[in-house]
Amino acid sequence: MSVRESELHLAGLSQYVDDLPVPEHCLFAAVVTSPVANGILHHINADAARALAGVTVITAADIPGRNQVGDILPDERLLADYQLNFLGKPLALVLADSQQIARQAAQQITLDIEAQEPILDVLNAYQRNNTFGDERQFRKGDTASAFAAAACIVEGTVDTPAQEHLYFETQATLAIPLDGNRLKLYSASQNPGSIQKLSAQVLQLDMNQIEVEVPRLGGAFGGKEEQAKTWAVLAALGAHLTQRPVKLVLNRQEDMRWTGKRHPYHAKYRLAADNDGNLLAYDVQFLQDGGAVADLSTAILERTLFHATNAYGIPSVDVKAVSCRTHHPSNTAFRGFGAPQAIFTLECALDHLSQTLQIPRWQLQQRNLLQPGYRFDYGMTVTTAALQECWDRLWQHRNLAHRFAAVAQHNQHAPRFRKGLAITPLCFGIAFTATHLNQASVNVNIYQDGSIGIACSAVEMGQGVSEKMRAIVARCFELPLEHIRVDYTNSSKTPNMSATAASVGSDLSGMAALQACTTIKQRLLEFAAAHWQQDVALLRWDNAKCLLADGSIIDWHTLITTAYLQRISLAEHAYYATPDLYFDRTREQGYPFAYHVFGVSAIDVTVDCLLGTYTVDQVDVVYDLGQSLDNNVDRGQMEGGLVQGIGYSTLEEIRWDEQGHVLTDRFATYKIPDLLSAPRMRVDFIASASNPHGPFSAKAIGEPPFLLGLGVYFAPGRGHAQFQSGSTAGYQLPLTPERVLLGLYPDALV
Amino acid sequence: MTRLWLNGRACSADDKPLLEFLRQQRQLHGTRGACHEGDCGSCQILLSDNPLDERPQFHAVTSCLLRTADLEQHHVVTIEGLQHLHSPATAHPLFQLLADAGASQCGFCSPGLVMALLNWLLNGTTLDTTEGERWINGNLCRCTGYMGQRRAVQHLVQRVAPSLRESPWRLGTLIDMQWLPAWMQFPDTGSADDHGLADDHDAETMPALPADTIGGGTDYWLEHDSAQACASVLAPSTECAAQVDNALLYLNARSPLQQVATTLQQLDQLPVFQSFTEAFASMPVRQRATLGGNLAHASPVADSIPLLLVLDAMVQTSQRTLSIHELFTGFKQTALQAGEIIEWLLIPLAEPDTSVQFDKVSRRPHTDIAVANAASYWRVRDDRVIEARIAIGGASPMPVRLFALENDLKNLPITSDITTLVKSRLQTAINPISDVRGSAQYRRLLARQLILAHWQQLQPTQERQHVRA
Repeated sequence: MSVRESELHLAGLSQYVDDLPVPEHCLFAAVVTSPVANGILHHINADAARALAGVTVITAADIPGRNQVGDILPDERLLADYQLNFLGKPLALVLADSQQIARQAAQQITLDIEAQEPILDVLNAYQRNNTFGDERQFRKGDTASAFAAAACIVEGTVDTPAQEHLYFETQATLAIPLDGNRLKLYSASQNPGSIQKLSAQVLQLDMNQIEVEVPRLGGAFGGKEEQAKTWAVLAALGAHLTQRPVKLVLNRQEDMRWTGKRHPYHAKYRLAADNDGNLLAYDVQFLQDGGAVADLSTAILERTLFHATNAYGIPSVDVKAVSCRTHHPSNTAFRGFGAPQAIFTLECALDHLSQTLQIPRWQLQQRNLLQPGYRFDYGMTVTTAALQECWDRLWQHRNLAHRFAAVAQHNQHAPRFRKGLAITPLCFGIAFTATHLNQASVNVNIYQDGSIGIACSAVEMGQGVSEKMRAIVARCFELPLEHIRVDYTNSSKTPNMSATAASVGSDLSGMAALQACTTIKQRLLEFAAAHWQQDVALLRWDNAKCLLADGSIIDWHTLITTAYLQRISLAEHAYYATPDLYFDRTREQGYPFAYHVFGVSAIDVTVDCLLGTYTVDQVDVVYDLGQSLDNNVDRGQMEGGLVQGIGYSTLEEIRWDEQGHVLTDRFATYKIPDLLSAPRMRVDFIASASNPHGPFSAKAIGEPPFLLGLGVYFAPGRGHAQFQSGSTAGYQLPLTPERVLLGLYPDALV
Repeated sequence: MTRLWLNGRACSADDKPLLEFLRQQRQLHGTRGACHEGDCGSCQILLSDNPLDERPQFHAVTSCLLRTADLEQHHVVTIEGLQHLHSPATAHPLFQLLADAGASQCGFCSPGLVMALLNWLLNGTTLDTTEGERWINGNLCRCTGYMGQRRAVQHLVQRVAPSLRESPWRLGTLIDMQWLPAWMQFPDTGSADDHGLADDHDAETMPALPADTIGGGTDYWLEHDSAQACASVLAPSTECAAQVDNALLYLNARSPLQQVATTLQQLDQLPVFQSFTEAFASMPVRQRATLGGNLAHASPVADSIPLLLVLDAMVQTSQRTLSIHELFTGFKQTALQAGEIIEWLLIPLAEPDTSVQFDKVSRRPHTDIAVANAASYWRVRDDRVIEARIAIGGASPMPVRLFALENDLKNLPITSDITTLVKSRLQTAINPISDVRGSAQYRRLLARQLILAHWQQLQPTQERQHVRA
């Protein structure tokens, strides 16, 4: 009998990579990394470390295949051999019989390094032309004429910061050598397919010699999409060279210092409108801090371009974006994938416009909300009125007109504790923007006893994909959930997996599962018709039973047992690729998304105008979810994503010193929201229309909730606090209590 | 070698971090560390220091901040201890309730949450939702499934709290409900289960460093790697956590802070201590941290220092009694001699017209280290200040009393605007620095605003409301 994933978690029975039984003769790994952000590595002296009992030290020279783990661009060595490009760049792998000895040995290694001046600022990198590829540009209409004719133009800058993933399970891999030069890797990765490919490349093996399995992840949020690979391939290298199992688990500080974050962006915007607040033209340039290597930066940049106009209809648009190379650990995927930076920038521009025109932000938002028939700069057209539906529903059901009035009235007499309320509309495109990644395969295996196992391309990381897969299969066969279990994600069961990312895990694997179940069910019905000599057209499937025309009932167990004995295949491997997607990067036009999701949030805050602290009191959301496959999971994704977005906007801040050391490298200094700082929430899901791209008309929900939390920045409002001084100092996240207090009392310290 | 009980059975342990002992030596992988510094609550376990008593007490503590050597004759209960109560283990009604509420997403932190909730059900006072949320606020969740956790607390308040409130003995009731195992009351006193000890490689590699004497270790283990360093934790005093004697209030410097707060509440003394304790740290940390440790660590942002400074506390050590004003000699420095232990804090009982305030501002409003903190002590008669004492932490190398300002305030009507006065006195009285928690200019401004906020609290309610920001 199979139980819910969450029940295993609560009972303490779930196994994460670090919980797997340690094989006999296992070696434990420590990684020696670059102590400088920029420099040349002349020599690694590992004699003292190697002299310790049982210690093996592996460097770039020991790599049998290519010393290369770049995925989009081949610009990333597994182990540095000459150029050091960030603090934390691995340059040696130390293996020993215990974790403690491995770490002690790693400390014995001395390095001959020539340090150079690092570039740690995105503007500096841009000025020096340190970029990953050329600047890209999405255009629509004639922005030059529109700006020339506009009654009102605002312009300014927006800085959106880095964010630490702080997944509770740190990066971890257990690598086990098998016969025939094979390896089995248990990796805490969102992207087992990529780890298989890169391990083969580094070890000069065929992909069929490497099996990658992911039990589940203790949180990922994008941080294990690309950046699990270094640690997984290092463990694979160690196991391959020593022919012993190798376990590599980063400790918290290592993980926070050495792995990439959400990309900081510097944006310059110009927004034109008429005197009534109708948007006419938007011109924006995004400089992305990609960090040391390309990683996923160019893909993330692309999503920034796609979401530059978010949920608004703007006649003329000119969006430019470029990814810049700095000496930070390579920045990487994080829930939202470049969209938060784009969406926040336009919200800032709207805020700026709202002050200039003296029209409330929400009125500008409402007036410019995108409508069916609107064509995005990249060529897709909006086909549904779901956004307006979300807006209207939120407005009416949550009494927003009344609440805006109440806030104004409350603040009228300048009380110490003042209220604020902000709206955020959202439009988010669903698909990998790299079209080829929109594919998945699933095995549905029915066993002789009637129980069902599912192997799918998606990794379970708390987003509930395994519960959704169970729900889909249960619904197809009309079986109770307890018959259905989802296996660990494994590259031998579902080959060539794309990363579990882009909010599409349950769409892609779900559609494949639906297909597999439909095929098996049809096969079973045809078998039953033949076996029990019935007309197949008269058979009915009801509540996990096959009803024959004569009224007799074949129950599930009998059906499966009989089919097995009659040599009918009870398994199916199904493959799904999202249809009709394409994108032409020479023209920056195409049809990149299967569909868009829409939602609107309202966020209430209370500001203590004496101390500058504030609380986020309430969030109301309406979101077009389609048909929910698991209400608990979808609700959890919405509520959790919102709080993560609110954390990014209010609290979370990474600090570096001038050499590039992360100063906020532990929970004590990098703060994430806790229960008491999370607001109350009311989540309202609507189903606007059927969705052919989601199983049973479900829609994606992984990333969009994060974006609905960003509006908290605007809630305190300018009326009583100057900290949103967009036109002068520029907009800047997060809105910490420090920024609020210094904004409230700008003259206090003069 | 330490003798303790683990999930009902006696066992022995070499000295090592408890979390490491549980996971690596005993293969109890349900207890997981995410932060290893007492911040996230993921590794919480239930701990009793009187397991053989007729009615043993259990509290949730973070296993990353404990060493096995400090657990002689203690009883440790991990999530695995709850796995045999129901078949299958997942059928435990608490797990079901939490799963139904959506309180678990990636699941890494879930066992710690279970422990925190059980701690609340065992030891909470009112067992209402407000208290429940506060007691589990030391459990961070990066999937941020806090709404699910809130729903779970609500369900517990509705379904379980009524019978527990009436229960003369909560542990017994929870054992009867099959929520907790019977061996929590009657641990096996048979021979030790020393499985796994012989295979341990790490035991011999422990460096023999001179041991520091520490309080609960909740500060110490943030700055020292518990796998590398040694420290001898003071056993919490067996005497009561607080008492009144001869017009003096005695606070036990070696008792867990939470115990001091609870005892003060029972004694109806020093009401500010309740909100102070809440602001101090999360519940599992409060179950270990002591006033003595907080003072001896002498951090510029130590929350207890400003409070004890305005209370003019006397510090009774193992060797002498000195004024709190003599205790601190510089940044993280005290007048304590080697081996000198802070035993008691003596506070003159408050006059009836006294009010004491404590406030702390941190990046995250709860369970965070202060950017700055402030305590103040006021005696007001006929709307005039008779006596003011004000102390600010986080704005100087050590927390400071603002004696000059206090003098200025004496005899002032409480309706006076003191903004300029406070600002000018702070010019020289404090000397803040910039660090990751806040800039120097922010700290300077914050110090002023904290004092103004306290001043405003002296006003009649309707006049407290307005701010000229």
